[in-house]
Amino acid sequence: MMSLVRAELLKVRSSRDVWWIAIVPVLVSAATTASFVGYATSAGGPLETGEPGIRASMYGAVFTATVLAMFYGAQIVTNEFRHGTATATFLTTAQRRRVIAAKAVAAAVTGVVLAVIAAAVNLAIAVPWLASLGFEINILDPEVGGVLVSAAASAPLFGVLGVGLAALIRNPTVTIIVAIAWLFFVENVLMTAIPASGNWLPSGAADAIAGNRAVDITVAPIWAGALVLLAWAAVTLTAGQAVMARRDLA
Amino acid sequence: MTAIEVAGLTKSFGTVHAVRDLSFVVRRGAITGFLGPNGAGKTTTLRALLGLVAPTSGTATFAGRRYAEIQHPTHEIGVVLDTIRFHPGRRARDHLRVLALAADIRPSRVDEVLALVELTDAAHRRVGGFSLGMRQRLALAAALLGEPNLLVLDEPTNGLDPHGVAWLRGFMRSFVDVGGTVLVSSHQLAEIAQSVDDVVIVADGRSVLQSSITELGGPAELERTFLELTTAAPASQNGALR
Repeated sequence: MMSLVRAELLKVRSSRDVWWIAIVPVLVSAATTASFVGYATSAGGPLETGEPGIRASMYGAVFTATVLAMFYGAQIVTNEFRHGTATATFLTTAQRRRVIAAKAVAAAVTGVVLAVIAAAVNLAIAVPWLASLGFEINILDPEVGGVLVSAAASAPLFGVLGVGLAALIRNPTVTIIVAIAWLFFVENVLMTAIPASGNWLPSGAADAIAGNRAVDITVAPIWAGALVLLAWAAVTLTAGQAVMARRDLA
Repeated sequence: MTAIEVAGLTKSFGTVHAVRDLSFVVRRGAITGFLGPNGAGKTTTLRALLGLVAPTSGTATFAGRRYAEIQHPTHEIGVVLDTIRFHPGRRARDHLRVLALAADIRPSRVDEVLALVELTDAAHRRVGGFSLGMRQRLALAAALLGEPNLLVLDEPTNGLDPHGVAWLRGFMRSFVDVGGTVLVSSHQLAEIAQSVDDVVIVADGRSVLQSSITELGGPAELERTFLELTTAAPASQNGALR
């Protein structure tokens, strides 16, 4: 299994896509940090009104890491079909469930890397910005560190979620459209209609893990959020493995 | 000694019957040509043999084992299929390193197979810039990584220049001379007639002939036999020809 995981990680590193893993997260993190800090420091925003303000301004790291981890995780699967490398992969390892499991591990590792990049960019921008407004930020403050650590905890699971989803769908474009629709539309509609449903959805679970109560929806404790996210990742991955194992390949 | 046995193999895609009740054997230590017109079901048969598609009924096995049951398939069976493609942004050597890692093959073997197919100079180039012939040689290098004793080659001469075709013929012969087995599909009869020991001819998803070239009366007789057998298949039942 270990050599399969190393093979999957080499696939990620040895294609030009690796530059997208380096550059895109930096740019996206910069943008989300700016928007979350901007929101937190706005008139009447969380920093003015109360306690979760620091968390809210750090939350860009979680957002970036989880969303990108899901996209990159999906790509680890869909690239095989887009470029026709799936045949060689499954001839080398005929047990398709093991291949998908190795991809899930590779996606989780990629998720951690993304979280570290997102956290670093977030701190580099948010700390001086907030300091200039008179908010001293200490990285060791649990308010700050907790959010960044939660990004590193959530992103791997979103990576696994992406692998499972892509194994179910396989087509690169459809997979990304479904992921975007789910993260930015379906979950928002559900949470607006039934606020408590946020506790049972992946993004809501990531909020819970980060202790982000600024959105005033998530009330679940950290461990509950972690369990919910773990369940989503496990169920999606298992379903993806089952479908991939039965499917006819070119 | 039977290396490959296909028994009553049937594969349907919806209403299209690509392969129907196909049976043949490939003997060990010989080159067997797998011949048939386009759409005869050759590639589908090979995909079923290699576990890429599930047969509707029947079996296709290597010495009694399904491909998925073999512990380290690439150590026993080398495969070239035209559906094996490459990531255009990945270097040739990295493509092989990935496969070697996944199959627990020693890393030094990568450079050996690159030299064997004469791609050493292109090892560090990205595959996106490769010619068809270079890709075909890279595919063959990948098939040889695990030092298999059986090769399944689907139209391996596609894109090869005359030098490459001659090289492949020599390679297959020396491969079986040391005890290897080759199953090679092709629609290039003249080429195949010179290379193979046995032939399996399929038409319309069915096996219409299994014979050695000698029994057939020599390489010159192959084309006549092929045309006779494959044009005899009634077109109305040609479900595989989409």
